[in-house]
Amino acid sequence: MNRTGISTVPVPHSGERPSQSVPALGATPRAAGCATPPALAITGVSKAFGGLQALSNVSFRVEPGEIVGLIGPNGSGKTTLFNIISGLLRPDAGSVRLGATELTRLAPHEVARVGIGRTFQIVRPFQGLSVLDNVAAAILYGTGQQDVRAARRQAHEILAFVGLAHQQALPATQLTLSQKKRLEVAKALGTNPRVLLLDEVFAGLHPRELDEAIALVFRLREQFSLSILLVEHVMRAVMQTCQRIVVLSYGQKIAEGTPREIASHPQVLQVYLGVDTHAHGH
Amino acid sequence: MIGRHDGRYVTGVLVACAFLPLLRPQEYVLTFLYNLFSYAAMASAWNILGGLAGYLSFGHVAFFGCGAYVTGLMLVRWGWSPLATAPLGGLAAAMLALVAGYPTLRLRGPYFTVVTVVMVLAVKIVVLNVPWTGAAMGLWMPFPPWDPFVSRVIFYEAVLVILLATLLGVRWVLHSKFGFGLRTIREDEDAAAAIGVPAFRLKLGALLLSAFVCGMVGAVHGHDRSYLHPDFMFDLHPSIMIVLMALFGGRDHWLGPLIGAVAVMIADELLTVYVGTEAARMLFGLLLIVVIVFLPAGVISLRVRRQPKPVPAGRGLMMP
Repeated sequence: MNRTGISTVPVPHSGERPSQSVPALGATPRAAGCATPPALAITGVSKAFGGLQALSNVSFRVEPGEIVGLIGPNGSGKTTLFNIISGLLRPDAGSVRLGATELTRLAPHEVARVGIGRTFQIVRPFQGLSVLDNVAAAILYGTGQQDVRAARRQAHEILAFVGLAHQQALPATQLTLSQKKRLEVAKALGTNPRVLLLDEVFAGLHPRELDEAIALVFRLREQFSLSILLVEHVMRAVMQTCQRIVVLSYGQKIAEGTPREIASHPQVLQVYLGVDTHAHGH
Repeated sequence: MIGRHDGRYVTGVLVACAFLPLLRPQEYVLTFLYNLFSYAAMASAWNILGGLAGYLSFGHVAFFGCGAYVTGLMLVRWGWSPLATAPLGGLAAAMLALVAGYPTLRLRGPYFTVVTVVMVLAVKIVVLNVPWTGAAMGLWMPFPPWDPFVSRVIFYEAVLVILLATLLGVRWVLHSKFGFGLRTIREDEDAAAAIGVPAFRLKLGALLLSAFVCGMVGAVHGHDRSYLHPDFMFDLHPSIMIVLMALFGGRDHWLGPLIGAVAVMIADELLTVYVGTEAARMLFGLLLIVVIVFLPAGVISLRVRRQPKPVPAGRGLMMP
């Protein structure tokens, strides 16, 4: 997990991220290479809001280095699950484990420190801060970094990686939507995550931006040796990036498999397209 | 004035102010500056929580009053000079902040603000009903043992020292990790948590720091007045003035609240003389609304924004 591997892009201060390799508070050593324990294990998670069962008994895993897609119609519980993983919501039952660490008992900021980086569906940059300081703040609090200058140098590297180096001095408000989404990713990366949760980062991008974003997701995984769980509606992006897809409908997992399997899964087609598969003698 | 060397200029001017009494100015001038420095110190301290973290408190006068009462009681009971016990007054104010802040800092936005107002009223009622504080009779303290002009000079110098220390402290906070965390809380508390910011702890730290300064200023003022009454020491008006100064001046620069204090104090003095106190208060209310709506980053943002923005690699540029 040597992060100085970012050197494929021009890096002015490589070798300046020693603190990034220090595991954050309560973090367990990374399962480097050994494939047995999953990076993220979601087991039997249920959550109700009053009478509405938002999630019922959802289980799946994200293996180290894997990109997993979480799809489902609006209201199927995807964002609820993200909020449970990142500690904003507490599940009624079930567990979420990052390596050996149980996340459901942690506060959101503790979850961020043990290695979950997340983006928000509606982009939420810190508006009064510069682009650079947005990422520097993530480095200061997501890792053990104490020195603001060092954090800014590291932030510059991450911004160069996501393609925002030229915008670093701008107030975050002045970015385009596509740039704000990159900034969200850069902020999440700043916390030195083991698992990255991407909430609709592909939505609203035009075709060329979409291609760039897809390429970025792959580069992220390679350079930062991340596991990625992404919620997405843009099917092209899901099919191109994910090795495995989990489908939610009304809070239940109705399917899990490779993109090819999911694309022809009868129940998925029914949920998405309203196709009555039984009428065709399935 | 707001540039690279602003720190040196302002520190220089304030240090020069320390020698002003040697020129034997009119007592009016010293009193005006004494009030100005007191307000500036409290507005700067308020800014740590209200400006940086965005948690508007209208309750800081409670910390001011707490510092005055605690050190005043120590003078009455044990004969300890409030000038020596001012840090204890600050600590007492920080204790009050801890008790008040621990439950309320979990509230957000307007809810927190409402609770801070209630805190002032609650503390006032407690002081009014506890006999050993003097209760509704007020607390009579021994007069300072110096002749009037010397007293004026001593209190003036005391708040000047507090102001300088506060300004330098706030400047440090602004550029520190702590300051970064507070600003992310102001911008978006959930997003701040998502990058690992322990929001509650930082907010509580900011509240305790700002309460400490207000308690120190309160200790000096209590000694100066020699008579404390809950109606004066827990009056909401100074709280509103503090908020106005900090927001008017600008929250993201360590000199913002000082500039705001200068502007508001001069305006207050002129309005009180030429228009009358009631009209002055109405105008301040109006000004507060105008500033919050049209100039959320304060008058200092007009000046700072015009500066050229160099873009060397790996430097943060938006914040001074």
